[in-house]
Amino acid sequence: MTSPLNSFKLILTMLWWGWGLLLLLLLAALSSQSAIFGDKAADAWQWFLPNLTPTLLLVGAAAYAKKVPDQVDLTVMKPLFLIALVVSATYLLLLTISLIGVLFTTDPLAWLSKSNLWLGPLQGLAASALGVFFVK
Amino acid sequence: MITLNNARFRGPGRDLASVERQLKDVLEFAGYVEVGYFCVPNGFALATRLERIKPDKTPYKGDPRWQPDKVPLLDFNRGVALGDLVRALFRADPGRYRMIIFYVTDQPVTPGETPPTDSLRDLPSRGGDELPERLGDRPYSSAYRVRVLVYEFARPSVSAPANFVRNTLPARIHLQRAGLWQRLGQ
Repeated sequence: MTSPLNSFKLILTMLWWGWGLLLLLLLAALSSQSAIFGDKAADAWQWFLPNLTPTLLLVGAAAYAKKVPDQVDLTVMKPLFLIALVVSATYLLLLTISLIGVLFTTDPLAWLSKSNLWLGPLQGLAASALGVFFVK
Repeated sequence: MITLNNARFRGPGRDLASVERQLKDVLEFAGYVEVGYFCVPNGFALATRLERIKPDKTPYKGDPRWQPDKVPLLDFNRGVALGDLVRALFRADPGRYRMIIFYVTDQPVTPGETPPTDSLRDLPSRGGDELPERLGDRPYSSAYRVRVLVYEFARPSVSAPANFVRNTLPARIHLQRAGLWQRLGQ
């Protein structure tokens, strides 16, 4: 039988990797035509990868490496899981909005650069929440 | 460049003013309500305001047609449908513009080899709003021709300035898609 903790880990991993893959495809579509980033598509990828890959790899590695203990205190783990889930979903949603936002501006790279203002702190928060959940 | 069928503009007692009225009527019917007039040797030139066109060379509808500035691919104020989003993602049009200039003269007109400068885009607003009387009274003799030059500009991306498109479609196709060809009696 799958333990609740395994389900929590699976949900977080699926959320990050599933959504992350969709965002990768979205940026691939946006940067495949010169109409949006011109000849500066590499700059868009330079903005995007640091915003996604560190946390994505953290979740992937933690889910793969961490051995689930036989006895877990669900009263502690469930709130930690919910916090990690909500912060992760909020961060990924803001990342998606930032990416879609390039379609609503005449200076897409400036917009992406500005979006770091809210993505930076939230990414730190998401990484912390995930870190606490997986370490516990 | 294309030379229009001259018979349409010829007739007993015709002068340049009557040709100008004929052109202006056709242009106004197709939505070109703002034009600029310029003197050229032995005649005049009439330039339409820069208009935004679609990739198929038909003009945009409504206000966006006359907005030459940078505009985003999507705009909440204009409404965003799923189709618009898909188009922006895969077949985005960052901006394509056209200016049509009619030359009415008995002198040869040769398009320049070098691309037009940025100032060409402001041409209609810098020109006169009506044909000078001294030109209008001039008889439209058989040596006169009405020639049309079409200039197209395109932005490579939403943040880039529009560049002159050297290999645009033939002027005749532009006139057809602009809704002018038939009305010009061609």
